[in-house]
Amino acid sequence: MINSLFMINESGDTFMEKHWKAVLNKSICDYFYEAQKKCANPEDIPPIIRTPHHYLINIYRNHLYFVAVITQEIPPLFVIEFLHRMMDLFEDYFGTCTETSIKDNYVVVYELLDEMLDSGLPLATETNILKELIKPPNLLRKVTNLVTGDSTNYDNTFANKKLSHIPWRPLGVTYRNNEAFFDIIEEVDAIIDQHGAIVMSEIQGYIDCCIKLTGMPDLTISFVNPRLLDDVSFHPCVRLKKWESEHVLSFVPPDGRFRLISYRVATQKFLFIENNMGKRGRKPMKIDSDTQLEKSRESARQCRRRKKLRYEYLEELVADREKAIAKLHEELQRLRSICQHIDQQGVTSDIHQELKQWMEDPEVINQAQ
Amino acid sequence: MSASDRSLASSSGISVQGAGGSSTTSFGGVNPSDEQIEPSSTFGIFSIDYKKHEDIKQMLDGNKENLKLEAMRRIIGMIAKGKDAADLFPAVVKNVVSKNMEIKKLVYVYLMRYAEEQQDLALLSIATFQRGLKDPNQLIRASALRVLSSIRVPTIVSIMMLAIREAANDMSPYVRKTAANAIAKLYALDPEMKDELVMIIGKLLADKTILVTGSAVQAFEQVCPERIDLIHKNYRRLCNLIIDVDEWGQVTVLSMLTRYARTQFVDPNKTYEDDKTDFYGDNKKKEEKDEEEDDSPEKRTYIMDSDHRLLLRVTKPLLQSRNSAVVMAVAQLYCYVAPRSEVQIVAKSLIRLLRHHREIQTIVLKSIVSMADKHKQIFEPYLKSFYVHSNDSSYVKCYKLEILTTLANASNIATILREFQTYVVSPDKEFGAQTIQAIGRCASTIPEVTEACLNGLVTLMSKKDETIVAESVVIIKKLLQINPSQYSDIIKHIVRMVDKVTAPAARASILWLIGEYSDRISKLAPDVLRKMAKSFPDEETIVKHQILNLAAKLFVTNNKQTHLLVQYVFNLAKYDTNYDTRDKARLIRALLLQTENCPQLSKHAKKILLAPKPAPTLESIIRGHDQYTLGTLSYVIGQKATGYHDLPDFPLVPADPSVRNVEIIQPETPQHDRSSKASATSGTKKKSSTSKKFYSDDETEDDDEVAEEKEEEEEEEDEEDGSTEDPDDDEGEAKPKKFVKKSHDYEQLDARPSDSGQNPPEDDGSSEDEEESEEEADDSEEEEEEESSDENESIPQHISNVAKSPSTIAVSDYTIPAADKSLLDLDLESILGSASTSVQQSTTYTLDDLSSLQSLSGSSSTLTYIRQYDCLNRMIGQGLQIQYRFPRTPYRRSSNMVHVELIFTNTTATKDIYSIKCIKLKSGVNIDGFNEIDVLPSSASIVSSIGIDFNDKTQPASFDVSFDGRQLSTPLSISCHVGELIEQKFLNEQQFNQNLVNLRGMNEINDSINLSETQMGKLNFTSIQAKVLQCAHVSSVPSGSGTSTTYRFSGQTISSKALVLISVQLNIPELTVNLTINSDRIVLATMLLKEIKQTFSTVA
Repeated sequence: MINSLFMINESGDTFMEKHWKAVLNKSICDYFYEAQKKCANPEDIPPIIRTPHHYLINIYRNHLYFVAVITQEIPPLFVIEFLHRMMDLFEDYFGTCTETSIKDNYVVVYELLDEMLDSGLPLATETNILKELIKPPNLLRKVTNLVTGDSTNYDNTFANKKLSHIPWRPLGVTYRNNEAFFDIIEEVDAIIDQHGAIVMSEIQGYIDCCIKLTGMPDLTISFVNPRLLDDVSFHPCVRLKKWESEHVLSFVPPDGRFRLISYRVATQKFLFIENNMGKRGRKPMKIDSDTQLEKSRESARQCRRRKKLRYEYLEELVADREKAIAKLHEELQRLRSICQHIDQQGVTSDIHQELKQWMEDPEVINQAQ
Repeated sequence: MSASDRSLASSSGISVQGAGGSSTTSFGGVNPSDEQIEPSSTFGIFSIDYKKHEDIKQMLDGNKENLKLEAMRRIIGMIAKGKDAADLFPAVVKNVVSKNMEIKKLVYVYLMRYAEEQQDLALLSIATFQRGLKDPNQLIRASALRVLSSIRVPTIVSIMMLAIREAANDMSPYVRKTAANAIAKLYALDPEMKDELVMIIGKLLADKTILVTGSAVQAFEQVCPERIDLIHKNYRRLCNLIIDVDEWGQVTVLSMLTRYARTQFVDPNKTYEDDKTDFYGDNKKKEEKDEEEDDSPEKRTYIMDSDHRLLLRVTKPLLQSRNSAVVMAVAQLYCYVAPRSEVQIVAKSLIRLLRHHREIQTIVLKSIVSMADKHKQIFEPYLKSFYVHSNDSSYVKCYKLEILTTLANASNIATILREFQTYVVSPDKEFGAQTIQAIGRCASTIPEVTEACLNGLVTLMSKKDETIVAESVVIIKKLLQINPSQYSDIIKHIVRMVDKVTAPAARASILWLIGEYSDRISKLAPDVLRKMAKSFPDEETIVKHQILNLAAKLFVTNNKQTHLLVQYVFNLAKYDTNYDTRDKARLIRALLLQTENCPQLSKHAKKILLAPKPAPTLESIIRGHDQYTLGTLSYVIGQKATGYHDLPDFPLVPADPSVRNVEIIQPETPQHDRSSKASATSGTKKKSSTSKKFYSDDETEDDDEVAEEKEEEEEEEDEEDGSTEDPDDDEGEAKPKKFVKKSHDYEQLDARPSDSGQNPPEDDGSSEDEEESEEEADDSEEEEEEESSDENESIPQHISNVAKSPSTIAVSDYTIPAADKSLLDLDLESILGSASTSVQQSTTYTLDDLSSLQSLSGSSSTLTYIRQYDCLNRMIGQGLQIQYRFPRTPYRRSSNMVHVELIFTNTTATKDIYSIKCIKLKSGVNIDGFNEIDVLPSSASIVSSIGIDFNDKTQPASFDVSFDGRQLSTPLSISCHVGELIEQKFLNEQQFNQNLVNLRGMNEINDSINLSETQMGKLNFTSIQAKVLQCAHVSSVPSGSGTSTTYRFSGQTISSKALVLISVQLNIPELTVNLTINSDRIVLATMLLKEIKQTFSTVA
């Protein structure tokens, strides 16, 4: 139910507009400019601006504002998410999404906008489908167009094409080299207070894929420790039920680049995440984080060694104490026998001698000291 | 505006160039990029408007495709920049018939923009669209409909209606989706069409394709959201399919389902509480009536409607969507529909969204504010996620602060306050001020920390920063008001600051404090008033008001010292520029000084001025949006948006759940499928039936893609054979499976039916006998089982019994050919009426459809031998009964697996069984398990396919099954009859003999059977074939000479594809039958030989 879309650059020019329903005058953007003026930082512009009859939902990215005009109740995230998806798509088509790239390709942009929304409702938003309908511009085509004089953005075979019934994958993809790349990107976010202690830390991870496989491949990725990934969001191609039941990523991938999953791990310490990926039907490939494993093994070994030392030390200590106790016991016996002697026969010279001897005992002297 | 002007000029620059060189193939004309033309932009400024358009017109009128395309591109450029191109309409509209796809598309874009303004001319193009609607290409049909419905010309409403009605029945789901989108557009154009549109919506809602679902629901929401009755029948299907609907559709469907649930189900939280009170009531009664004790537990537990539960279960995985709008919609659903204990799960996903773009963060946080207010505990574990980052935008910071404040309680306040301390000193002053407010709120809500907070705030007052100090003063003032008696020190401290503080709000607060508590600072107060009187003319309005207040209060309490000062202040106020100040002064003057005018009031002046004032409640900055539904536009802007409707409250009495039951669906395929089969143009139409199964039933999807081509070919072949065969195939294959099951139910219900009396009249006598024997076998088996379980309860033994049972079944209990049996069962069914619930049909329906597909690629033999074995007894399975059978069709996912169908039956009358899962055992044979069955309603059954690689051995395959979250203590085992390890292999006689030569010697085994004369007489080709086919799934080899007494059969083992050749030779004079089997799987062959021999010897 997006009524109109205005693209505005940082200096406040509306350089492109598109209307899906009744045409709206550019002056509606004045409300947006007003809000923009109030904020020093473009990030601080409220995402939704109220006007007497319309609602302006805007996003700010790449120094561009996309302002969508809404007339009716609609979940705002719906619109925001869509606008961002639109920018993603332009980035995908033109490399960058800037004012110049949009202006240069305004015909493609217009055709795209027309395919993406039907009377303001999303129709086709998957890059792969759109690329099938409207060819992205590239250098090679520019050159051939110049030479041949033919310059259509639409696929000429368009009329004969069937629609793929998987919304994100075109039919009839072929590659000579079948390859699949997986990038695992992890960002660590932490708040550290002035004393250097970590107040909060979390890991935000993504698996970005670049899949170049022929036909309709069905891939499966299994993880060694899937329990770590408890807060995940998936590309729609992932079969959610399979993940729920077996914790296995099973999917028919889109063609080309896409973000398979993104996950969040909230933690106090930094964790190692080990992946073990396999692909059904073809050669299994392994991305083992061997070095990390080795590290943790090494530290475990060290720990064990230290423990052993400590045990030895403690054992020695105990043995010493026992020896001391035995000696004390001996002495006690001796004193007792002297006492008994005195009790029975009184103090005799023997006793004197004995006592003297005892007094002179170096150990007793030591103890006395 | 300068940039856009320039680019406009540049485009006009092109035109001038083009005009100059239009005769030559212009280089610039082909390449439209702006930079290239940039130099001529100065020239372009002077070009005249009409001339430019003339030029484009010329290009459009010509017959060069390139020029036309170029012209259209330039026009689109004008539209994109918001420049008027309306006068080109006649020239453009002509090109709507262009063959060039891009020109056509661009003309469409132009039409959508300007048709409204030039309706008469737009009508010229209508004929083209109408032709486009009949185009064989679905994409062209769809785009024609899209444009036709988008041009907003009221005169063509009837044409649109016609087009939509037609497109709603289109074979292509893509076109149907477009039709659904067009409905809302037509409704906006002409609301009178509503009734007819509602009918179409009803039809589209029931569409089987997920592609259509999202748009159909959207149309429903736009046109007739009040017609909730349209949803009933589709509710369960929508729930089950929602996971596969596209992201944008999911949002719409979710919000619709939320609304639906609010109208149909009872409040899960409220009921629980009500029952709680019930429970206590019961307790009192219990002493009096002991009998009621038995009933009370049932009353107490609130049982959620199974559909309600279904909704919550199917939407849960959607929390993992990458689309924030979907996650929000699920959160909304859980918030409003789920029981309180289950809302918890949305927290994590919402917090994940905080990593998304700034705009998304803002909206999600705002929603969390409300949720956290309602359900504090669910966000508490994630407190740290709401810590403010330095690069957050101001809205995000504000909301995070709000959430932290809401979540603060006695246990975590220490950490939160420590966090706040760092925020206060942040460079963002406004944020610092907000933090101080937040501290104030924490202090007022949590009494344990009030003291600490106050002290903290007082130290903040000594900070240099103006705004922070001012804010602290204001907050302290509010806190003091709550409990003034303890803090006279603080009051004194603040009063001393009055000279330093310059922020008006803070000064006003201090003055108010002095006035209110002047009794505590009786010495200071008059002096402050003196100072204020001096600076009165320079103060801000709110400060002036507080000075007046202070003066009035002091006049009452300390008349002696201050009355001159007070009069001075009032005189100043009398001539103030602000009328509020003058008014206030006049009012108080009348109250205090001119006592003779209203003596009554003046008497009570003290009471009026120094009345005990209620302490202000420190409230959040963003309050009061709660009245709107979470996550909606209205909620975010805090104002009712057009088209916003409140969620209805839960009904007190649940609506009738039976309305959602789906009626019996005929085994035939839906209309468009059928029509696609009937008309010979397959190709794209096939897709409507295949795409529907994508991902929802995983079983088919893998093969669909691969086998699509094959199937199409086969389908075509079938059609060539004769179109009547198709429906036969559907029903013939679908019915036996369903009805075999039913007859079984029937047998169990009536333990011992008095045979022929109840059975319908039959034309086939032998089949009845078979039926009977089966019944007996079943009964005896059951008795046996019951005995064993009753006598010693030894479960292991019991299970071994069950496991054995398939093999112990005598060969004689083979059923009759399926074709006959289905006839028999049809009659049974007609007598019993609808014995099974409709749920069963709806669930087995897709499977039937599936099997009908299989039948296309399956065997050509018309005879199918299906026997059912018990796998899990209903006693052990606590109501769950699992049987299996071999449908003798190739397993679709792997060619060397035996196809086994498991029949799950819930034999209980009341209890639903949830989440039946297959868990593979590590060791043993390779099993391709079935998909998890979410729910098996009571007394319903579901058929599910699995594949087992028996590796050509008769060892039983075992696997574990868990349901309702529990795993069975012992694995289930499926033992395979030797004959089922073999699949058909077609060979002609020559091939047969060739292969036979290779399998002589030790690969050959033979045996002979002696028969009586009468037995021998009965043997002919059909009876022999029947007998052999009973034992094994082989195909007969057509014999060259008709009178031969040797019958040959060929097959191959499923796993290793080893040939199995069977020859049956009748030796009529000697009354013997010679059996020969040639195969290099000699063990298998021996067992097979034994079986066949047994079959022949039991010939009656």
